[in-house]
Amino acid sequence: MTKYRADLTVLSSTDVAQDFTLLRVSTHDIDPVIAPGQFAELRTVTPTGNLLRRPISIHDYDPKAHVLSFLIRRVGDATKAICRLRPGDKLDTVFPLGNGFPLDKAGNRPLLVGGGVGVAPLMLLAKQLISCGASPVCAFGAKTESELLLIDEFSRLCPVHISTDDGSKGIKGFVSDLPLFSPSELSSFSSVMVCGPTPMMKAVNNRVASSSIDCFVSLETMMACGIGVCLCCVTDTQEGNLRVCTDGPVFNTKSLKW
Amino acid sequence: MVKLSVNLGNNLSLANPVLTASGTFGYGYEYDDFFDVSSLGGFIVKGTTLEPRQGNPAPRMAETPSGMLNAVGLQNKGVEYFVSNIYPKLLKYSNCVIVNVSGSSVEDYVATASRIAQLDHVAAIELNISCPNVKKGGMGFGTNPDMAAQVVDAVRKVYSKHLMVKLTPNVTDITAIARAVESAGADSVSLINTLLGMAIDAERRRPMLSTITGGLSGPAVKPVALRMVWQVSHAVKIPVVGLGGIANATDAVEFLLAGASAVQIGTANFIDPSTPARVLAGIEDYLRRHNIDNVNDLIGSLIV
Ligand SMILES: Cc1cc2nc3c(=O)[nH]c(=O)nc-3n(C[C@H](O)[C@H](O)[C@H](O)COP(=O)(O)OP(=O)(O)OC[C@H]3O[C@@H](n4cnc5c(N)ncnc54)[C@H](O)[C@@H]3O)c2cc1C
Ligand SMILES: Cc1cc2nc3c(=O)[nH]c(=O)nc-3n(C[C@H](O)[C@H](O)[C@H](O)COP(=O)(O)O)c2cc1C
Ligand code: FES
Repeated sequence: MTKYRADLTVLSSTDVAQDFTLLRVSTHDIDPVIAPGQFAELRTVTPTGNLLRRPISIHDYDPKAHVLSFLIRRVGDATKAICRLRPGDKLDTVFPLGNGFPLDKAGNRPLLVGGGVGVAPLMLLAKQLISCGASPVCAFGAKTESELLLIDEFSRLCPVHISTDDGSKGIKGFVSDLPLFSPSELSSFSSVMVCGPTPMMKAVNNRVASSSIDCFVSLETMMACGIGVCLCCVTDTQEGNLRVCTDGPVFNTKSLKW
Repeated sequence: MVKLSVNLGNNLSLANPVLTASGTFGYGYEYDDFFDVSSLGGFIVKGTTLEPRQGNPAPRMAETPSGMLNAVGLQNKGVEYFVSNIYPKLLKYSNCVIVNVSGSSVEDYVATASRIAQLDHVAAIELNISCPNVKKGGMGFGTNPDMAAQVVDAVRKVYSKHLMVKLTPNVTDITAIARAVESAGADSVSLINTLLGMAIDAERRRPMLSTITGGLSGPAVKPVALRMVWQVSHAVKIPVVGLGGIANATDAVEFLLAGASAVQIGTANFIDPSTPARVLAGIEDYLRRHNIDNVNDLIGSLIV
C-alpha cells in the first residue's frame, strides 16, 4: 500500500461529545488504499509547540467521495490544535500506516469491542466486514454515557451492546462483563477485534483466551516516526520487540506476551 | 548548473552533501514512497552490531521542547541478518550506502566491520563510538581519546574503504576525541550523536523513559551541534560531517558554513519524511541566490 504525505483540506470538524471531535478531510486527487485499523500521523500545517506528529486511527473512509475521517479525543496540545482546524484549513497527513484488522480472519460473526475513543477504527471495520458479507456485533464500553461515541451510527450498521462504568447506559461494569463474553455466547462468534485502553483489552482477552477464538487487539504506544524506522514504539512479543507502527498496530493476542 | 558534489576523501565522493542520520532513516526503502532516495548524496542505515540486540524496554521515547529523547538501545537483528536479508534490498540505490556500526568491545567492532568490508555496494562505514565498552566498565568508547583511538585503529586494519567516525557530544572537549580518531586513521568524522538528557512525568512522579536517561535530538540540539562542528573543523584536517537538529535547508547551510563538508538529516525525517529532498533542493536554491556555483566554496566560509 502506497503511503502518502499530503496537506489534506478539512471539510468539517464536529464535536461529537465533550472532548471528542469528528474531523473530515478531503483526499481530493489521491486514491489511497486503506484497510480498517490503519492509522495516520497528523500535524497542523502551522507549527504548534509540538515537534512530533500524532498517530490517529482512520475512523472512516469513503473512496468515492474522497473523504477520510478521524475521531479524536482532545487530550493535550497537539490533539487540541488539530481539532481547532476549520473547514478549508490544511491537515498535514502521513497515511495510511500500519497493518489493519485481518478481514480474512474475521469469519462471518466477528465481535468488535471498543472502549472510549477506541471505537474510532471500528466504523470502517464494521462497514468493510458487512460489505464482505459478515455480520459483526459491537460491544462498547465507556466511563459514562456522555463518553459513548457514535452509538446511533454504529446501531444503524449492526447490533450494539453497551456497558458503562457508572451504569448510566447499558449494563454497569466493564465491557468484558457483558453477557456476550459468557462461554456459551462467546462460542457463537468467529473472532474478536478490540480497540481501547490496554487494561480493557487485557480484560477482554482474558475472557476470550479460554476459547479457541482469535482475539485481535490494536495497540497504542508512543510513536515518533510511524513508518518503522525509529524503533521507539515497540511492544514485547513472542518474537521479541516488534514495532507497533509497522508490525501492528493490530496484533493477535497469542503473539503478545500478555 | 551549480556543482553540488563533495569529496569526503578515501574514495567517498557524494553527488551532493545531503545524507541521512543512522537510526532515523531505517534502511532507506521505508522512504521510497516519499521521495527518490537515490537523489541524496547517500544514506546511513540503522546501527548494526555483531549479534542481534533486543534494545531497551518501552517506553523508549519522550517528546521534549523542540526535541525528543530516545532510548532505543541499538535494537537490530545483527550483521549476519543485515548481510543476508537487508543488503540485497539496498543494491537498487545508486547513491552511497553507508552502514553505521556499533559494538560493546573492540573485537565486536572489528568482526562487524570485517563482515561489512565484504559488501561491494557499501561505500563506507560510519563507526558509532558513543557506545559503552562493556569490557572497560561500560565507559563510552567515544568519551576517552585513548579508547576512541584504539577502536578506530583496530577497525582501520580490517576496513580499507572510507571510515567515518561518529562522535558523541557528551564530552568536555570534543576536539581531543576528534584529533585522536584522526591520528588513528579515520577518513572523516561525523557529529553530533545525541546529547544525554532526561524527562520526568511530574504527575506520575516517574521518568518518561524506561532507562531514565536517554538521547536528545531534534532542533533543540542544533546550537550545540553547530558549535562542535565549528570547533572540530578547526581542529582536524579530515572532512567533518555535521548533524544535529537540521530541519530545513537553512539549517543545513549553517552547518556547511561552520565547516561541515556534508550534513545528515535525523529527527526531521520523522516529522516530514521528505525533509532530505527538501533540504537538497533548498541548498541548491541558496547557492543560486548567492551566486555560488560550487557548494565546496560554501564549506567553512563563515565570515567572522
Ligand atoms: C496507532 C494509534 C492510533 C490512535 N488512534 C487514536 C484515535 O483514533 N483517536 C484518538 O483520539 N487518539 C488516538 N490515539 C492516541 C493519540 O495518538 C494520543 O492521544 C495523542 O498523541 C495525544 O497527543 P496530545 O499532544 O494531544 O497529548 P499529549 O499531552 O502530548 O499526550 C497525552 C497522552 O497521549 C499519548 N501520546 C502523546 N504523544 C504520543 C505519540 N507521539 N505517540 C503515541 N501516543 C502519544 C501519551 O499516552 C500521552 O500521555 C492513537 C494512538 C496510536 C498509537
Ligand atoms: C530514534 C533514534 C535512533 C538513533 N539511532 C542511532 C544509531 O543506531 N546509531 C547512531 O550512530 N546514531 C543514532 N541516532 C542518533 C542520530 O543519528 C543523530 O546523531 C542524532 O539524532 C542527532 O541528529 P538530529 O537532531 O538531526 O536527529 C539515533 C537517533 C534517534 C532519534
Ligand atoms: S514509531 Fe518509529 S518505528 Fe514505530
